[in-house]
Amino acid sequence: MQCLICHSMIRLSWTLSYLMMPQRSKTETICMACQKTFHEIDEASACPKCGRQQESQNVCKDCQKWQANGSYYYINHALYQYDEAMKAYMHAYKFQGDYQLRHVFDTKFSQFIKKFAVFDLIVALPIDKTTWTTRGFNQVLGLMGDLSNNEVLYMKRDRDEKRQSQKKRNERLQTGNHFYVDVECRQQIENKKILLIDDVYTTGRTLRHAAETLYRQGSDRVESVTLCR
Amino acid sequence: MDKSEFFGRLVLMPRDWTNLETSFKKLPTMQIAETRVRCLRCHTWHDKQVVALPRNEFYCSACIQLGRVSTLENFVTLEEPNQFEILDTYLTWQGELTPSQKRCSEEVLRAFNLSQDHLLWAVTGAGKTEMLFPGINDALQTGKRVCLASPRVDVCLELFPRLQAAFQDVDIALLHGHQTDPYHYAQLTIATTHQLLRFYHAFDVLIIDEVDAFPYAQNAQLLYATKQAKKQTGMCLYLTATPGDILLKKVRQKQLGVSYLPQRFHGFPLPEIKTKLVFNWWKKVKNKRLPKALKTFLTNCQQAKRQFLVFVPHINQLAVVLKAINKEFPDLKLTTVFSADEHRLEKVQLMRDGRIAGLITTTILERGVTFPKIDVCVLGADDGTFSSSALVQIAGRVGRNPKRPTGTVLFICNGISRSIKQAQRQIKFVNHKAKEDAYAVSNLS
Repeated sequence: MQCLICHSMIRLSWTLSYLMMPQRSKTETICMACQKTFHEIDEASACPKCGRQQESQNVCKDCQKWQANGSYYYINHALYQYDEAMKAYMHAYKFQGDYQLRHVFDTKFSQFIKKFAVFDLIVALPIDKTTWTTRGFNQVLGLMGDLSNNEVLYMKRDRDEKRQSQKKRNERLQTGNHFYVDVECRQQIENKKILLIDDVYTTGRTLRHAAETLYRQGSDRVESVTLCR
Repeated sequence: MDKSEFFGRLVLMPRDWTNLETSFKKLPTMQIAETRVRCLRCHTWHDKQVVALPRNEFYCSACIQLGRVSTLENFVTLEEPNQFEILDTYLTWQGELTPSQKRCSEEVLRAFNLSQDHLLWAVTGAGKTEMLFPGINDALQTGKRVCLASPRVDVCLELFPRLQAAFQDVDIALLHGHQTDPYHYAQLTIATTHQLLRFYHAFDVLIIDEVDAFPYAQNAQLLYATKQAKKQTGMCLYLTATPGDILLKKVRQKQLGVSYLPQRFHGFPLPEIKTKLVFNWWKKVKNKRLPKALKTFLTNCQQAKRQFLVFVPHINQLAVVLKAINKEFPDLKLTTVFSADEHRLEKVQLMRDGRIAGLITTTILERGVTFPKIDVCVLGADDGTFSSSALVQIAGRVGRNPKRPTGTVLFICNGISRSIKQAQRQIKFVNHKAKEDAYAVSNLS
């Protein structure tokens, strides 16, 4: 097996369980050295609102600003820190379009999502039509592994508008809401607890737009899970 | 849009192009078979399952660094028109070639004219680049498109100023992966072999330097790139000091012409390889004991105040070997160098300045670096990381200075591997050729 990131060979460990049931034992997709470059978020010292890694468990400054502006309930949970290694990974996966790289995190991320079992619906953030024809995949669905998605949320972006990731922080925060819920799906989300899934929580603008859209259509509670913050 | 950017190039069709001018040729990106798909840029086969995108599309993960090839897209290209400005002068180089260099250079020129594949086998430090000048000059004058490609970026970066100095009025394009300048159409191109993947039937003359070097050798992707990049009527010239089996076989089968330049510029033969069998040298070194042969090697170097290089197969062995040597020879000033080393260049400079007695290193110093008067020892020469060409290159580090044209090349190994045998045979062969050559030359005069 080759490491998906650095392409070096990964040595199999010949454990008893592997010898007895080779199909069942989990296989690593990246090598130890590459694994060490990613850092998980420690919940004991993360912002309780957005999941950002910090020193204390207080609500971080960004979230205080959000709280001052809006009054709806919204919490984000994140698995990894969005550091240099993760940025490089996201670049290769999303922007270079190396879809295989979803296997680096899909097992772990879907397990993480499964922890939030109280929710009625799992909804991955959608991508727009142009992205489908250029990238050819929804990066969030790739990361969700075998979890099934409920397609209730759609996205439409003006032709010439930049992507969120190409904008500066201020521009991002001023972006308009491009999400909408299909009329036929409205029943599905009414009075439901919904868990949104996305790859990265950066400013929180996109996820909050999605949450606002869902609340407006009558959802009961919205939280989100992202791979990194 | 500048059309010339598409001459002989293989470009993914830009998104905003809706209708294509008739002169453009549209090419498919992937070949889809039953269970596999093949990228038509790098020719790699993939399992459908592995490279599938949702909605029944596929992509290539092997050449993704050059921009993703996928079934969502098409290539476009324009046929190479050889549309070059005619200059008054091309070659401005004034140097002289030695008689044997001249002979090789004439043979190369003939191969260019006949458009036949050719191999130029010249020992390290024989002045390969200069031998190419007359041939390149002729090709440029007759309006041919020429490319000089090498697997190593540092070789390309070194070649560029040398060629620009030799062909002062010629526009030369330099292409490699770390580059930010956009591509431009030029009659003479210097590129890394990976960049050849972006060309399609472009070059009349394609020269590949250091064919045996990683990553070109044994890389089917790059071999295919070479075939695609030259015109169907074009030719390929391979340059190397250590041709591999495949090239030599082609020479034997007369599919490939060959020119030898077996003599080093100072006229002395290449130093031959001495081997010493030491069973389990690694275990010894790990226990901080040195094999006897290495001990004598180091003592000799120390007494004669000669610098030395010690090669090991793997990066993680460097520190262990350093510790073991430090324990036995506390006064020797040593350090280690490896590819990802931040201070790589400084350490090599220290060695050049004679401030340290030796370096312990991996195959990264196998080619391209010249230290005047050194001895070389290879630990674990039978390890798989040392190919026969790497071993010949390592041996070629020794005796490069006319003041000390000889030296010791010591291989310490658990057994004599095929690569070691091949390396020894190659050095013997080249030395023999050199003698014949010298004899022929003396007969002529």
